[in-house]
Amino acid sequence: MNPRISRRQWLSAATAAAFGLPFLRNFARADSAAPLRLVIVWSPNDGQWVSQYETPLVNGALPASLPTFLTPLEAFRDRLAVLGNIDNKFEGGHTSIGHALTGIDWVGPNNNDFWAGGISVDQHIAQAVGVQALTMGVTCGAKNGKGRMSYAAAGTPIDPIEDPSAAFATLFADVGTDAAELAAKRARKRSVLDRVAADLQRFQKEVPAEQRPRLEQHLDGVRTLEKQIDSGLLATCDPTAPGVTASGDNANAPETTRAQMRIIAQALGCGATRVATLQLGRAGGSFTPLWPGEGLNIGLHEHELAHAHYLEPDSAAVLADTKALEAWYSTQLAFLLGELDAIPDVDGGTLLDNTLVLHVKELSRNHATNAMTYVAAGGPSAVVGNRFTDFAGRPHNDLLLTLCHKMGVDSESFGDTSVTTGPLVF
Amino acid sequence: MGNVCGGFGLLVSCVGLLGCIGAIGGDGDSDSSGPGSEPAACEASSPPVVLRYLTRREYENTIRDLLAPPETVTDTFAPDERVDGYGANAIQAPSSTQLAMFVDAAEKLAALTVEERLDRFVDCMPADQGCAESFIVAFGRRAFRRPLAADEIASYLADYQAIADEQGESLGFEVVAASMLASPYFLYLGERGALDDPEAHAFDLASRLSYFLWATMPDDALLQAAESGQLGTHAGVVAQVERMMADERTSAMLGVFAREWLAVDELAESSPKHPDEFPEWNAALADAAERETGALMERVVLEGDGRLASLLESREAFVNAPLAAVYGVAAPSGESGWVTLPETERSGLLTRVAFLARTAHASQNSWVLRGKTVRERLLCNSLPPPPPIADDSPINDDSRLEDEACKGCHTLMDPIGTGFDGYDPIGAFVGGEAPGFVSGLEPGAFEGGIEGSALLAGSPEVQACFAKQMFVFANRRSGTEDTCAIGALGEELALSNGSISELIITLATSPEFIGKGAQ
Repeated sequence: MNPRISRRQWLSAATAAAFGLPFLRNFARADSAAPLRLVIVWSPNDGQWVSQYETPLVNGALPASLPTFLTPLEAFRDRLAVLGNIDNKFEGGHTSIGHALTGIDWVGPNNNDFWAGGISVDQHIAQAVGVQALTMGVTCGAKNGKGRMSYAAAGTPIDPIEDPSAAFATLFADVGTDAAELAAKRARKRSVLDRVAADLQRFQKEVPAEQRPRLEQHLDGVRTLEKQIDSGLLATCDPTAPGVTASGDNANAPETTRAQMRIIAQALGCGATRVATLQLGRAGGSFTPLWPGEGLNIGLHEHELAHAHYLEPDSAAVLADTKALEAWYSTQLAFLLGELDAIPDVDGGTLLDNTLVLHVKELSRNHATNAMTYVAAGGPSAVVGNRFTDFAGRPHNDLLLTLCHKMGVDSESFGDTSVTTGPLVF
Repeated sequence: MGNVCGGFGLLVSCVGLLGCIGAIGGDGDSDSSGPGSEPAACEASSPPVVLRYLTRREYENTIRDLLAPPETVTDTFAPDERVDGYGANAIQAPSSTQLAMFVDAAEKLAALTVEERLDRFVDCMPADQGCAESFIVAFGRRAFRRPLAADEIASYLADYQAIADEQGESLGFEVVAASMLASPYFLYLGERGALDDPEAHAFDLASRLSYFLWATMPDDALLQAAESGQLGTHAGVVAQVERMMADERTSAMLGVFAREWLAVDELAESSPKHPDEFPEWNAALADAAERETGALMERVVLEGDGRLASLLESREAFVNAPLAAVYGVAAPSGESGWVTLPETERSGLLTRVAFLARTAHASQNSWVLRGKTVRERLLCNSLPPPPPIADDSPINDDSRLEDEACKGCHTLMDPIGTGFDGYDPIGAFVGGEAPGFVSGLEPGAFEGGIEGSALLAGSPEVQACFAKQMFVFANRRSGTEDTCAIGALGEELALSNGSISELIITLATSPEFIGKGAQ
């Protein structure tokens, strides 16, 4: 296990950069135009709704006193675009996670696993801009539609990487390897993947015809890995090892969350990808926020907390816990923004200046999926900061389409075309 | 709060359910129920053998037998995709992130193979003349669980040579081992049904037998049985299955089955408890309770009378000190051991910590979860998912038994759950009244977990369902196209007086399991 090194190393690295020392080697090859990056964070339940409506937000500048769920983001106020009243057109309650990034209804009938019906926007954008999307998660649960957000295609979910150490090893395995050794290593990996692909083709002919499409999917996956051998995913910068191994232990969830965020920031900073997602738990939630170190002492599973609020809408204690938990999610978002802001970008600004971060939620009020509130953040090319916009029921698909456009991917619609009307302005 | 339960046609779908009870294995018109008669032949309509890749546990066990690595390798793998609750990986291809994990693991294990485990496969050094071919043949046979064809050996040898020429023999060996460990021939189980090759079918059967009965790769004797043609005859298959059932590796399978059957695997993750109310509850206790569930299954089948009823009524328990404390019994002398639980408080698996904790929330019992689990796992009734808004009511709520929109389903679940109210959310015995009722069973009424367990243990419906559960586990398919076979299996289980090991042997030697192998 790599020893944990303080994230403040980034600051010393930034200092080094300021003195013109070589810091992130890959930056040397880049020109000064920085591309926009995209990070989508998902979290469960409807705490934002509970929190937001203590002080209803209205069109225009954010109020001087932010609602509880936004207060941890005060330092980034000028980077925030709060998106209100967006309507996710698909039914779902605690199964709506599959709609969040796909914007399309479930795959067919008898789909008891709730697999989503199309490619997710992160994968679509990544393919269009020629990178591999980074799919991360924390305690995402069993492999069914309630535990998966990203999809390669209809009914084809992508398992999030839940272990920071594993993610780090995969992303940055070749950091520090000298050129000759790297070439040899890549030649071996290519040989392995070529043989696996050949074995898959042979195996395909041997199994009954109805089983072949699945092996074709497997083969597509192997070809994707082959393409990555020489791609930017094998970054050549100097990232910091996380020192955290996901144990699935509830007590470690906060630390794992931040370790995953740090890896996302580093992956973007190292040019390993331009698109990342982070799924914090499964539909309905995975955590019991009994985290004294985080200032939370909530002994209920977060799903039970969400329901406690419906059952006891007048309970001050439940309301306080709900707000505190949602504020915690915003605190994590602020951590991510801070990480991005601490990494210098090729254009002389910070990574945050050239990143669009979107925090999507599962639900609005009472398990409904209309009137959703989301928080977007980033630099001037991503959002107009310090603003709340009431989108008056515009479809969620329009938001997905907007992500495509902001990332430079030309599309007329995304997901179900019948519920897409056009891009949003924020 | 408005409409608490919503109207989503649940009444209709659940009212119809009672009519289905008892029809697990088909239409009940089978004429094969006489004592000693052969079960009806069902293979004509049997779907092909499932194609699936190794579960995390199977992968771990396989690597243990193949290479004995110093530490676990599957911690970062994606969770298994399930079929009816049983880890199967039988529907989707592995996702791109999981593929990367497979390749990473293969590369690491290949390095271990060449650096430290080579003598398990060959008695030469990589630079020795002919050593690469010997390694390909020997490692390939173990990793692919079958001999390699001549052209496969040639392909792998060419891969070896290309890397060896540039980077040296050892790295050539590594590439061969890594390729094999990431190959579909290592990862997948199934049947190469498009081949007209009895030997291929025999080796595929050997793998399926081994992963069903042992949850790991075949041993040499089983591969030998495939090679010699023994697995080409039904008698030969029976002989191997009986040999395998006597092997201690069977316990791994029994433990996995019991935990997945009652959905108590991953108990620590799935069942957090309120720490103020249950300070004794932690991951270690949950793990011990999960282990206890598997241990009782092993004990009953391998050392006890082997009957399904004993699973539901035995008072033997494998506990450590913290688990013994929950049961209110003296801790075993060693770290863990067998104890007998109090006669007035406990019965079989449904009155144990794992099941009771799994079917309760953090601080409250759940009538719904307990009733639903009994319906789904012991009676094989499938209940429709609740409407989204159904969540918005108290955890235990009598009014759902009256409300027109709710009662269709909830009268099937909640009255079973109330019968287990003598236990708290971590499964400690608290006593008190616990009237229960299982509609559709005769007699349906029971008082408390012990009576409830006895009612279910004596129920032909539970026996038929258990046969179905074991069918799904053995074949890793849901059984919707196998109603005839499952019905016959239930009848056999009844004839054998509920013998679990006979059920397993019947399944492992059934036409559905054997596929194109020996008939």
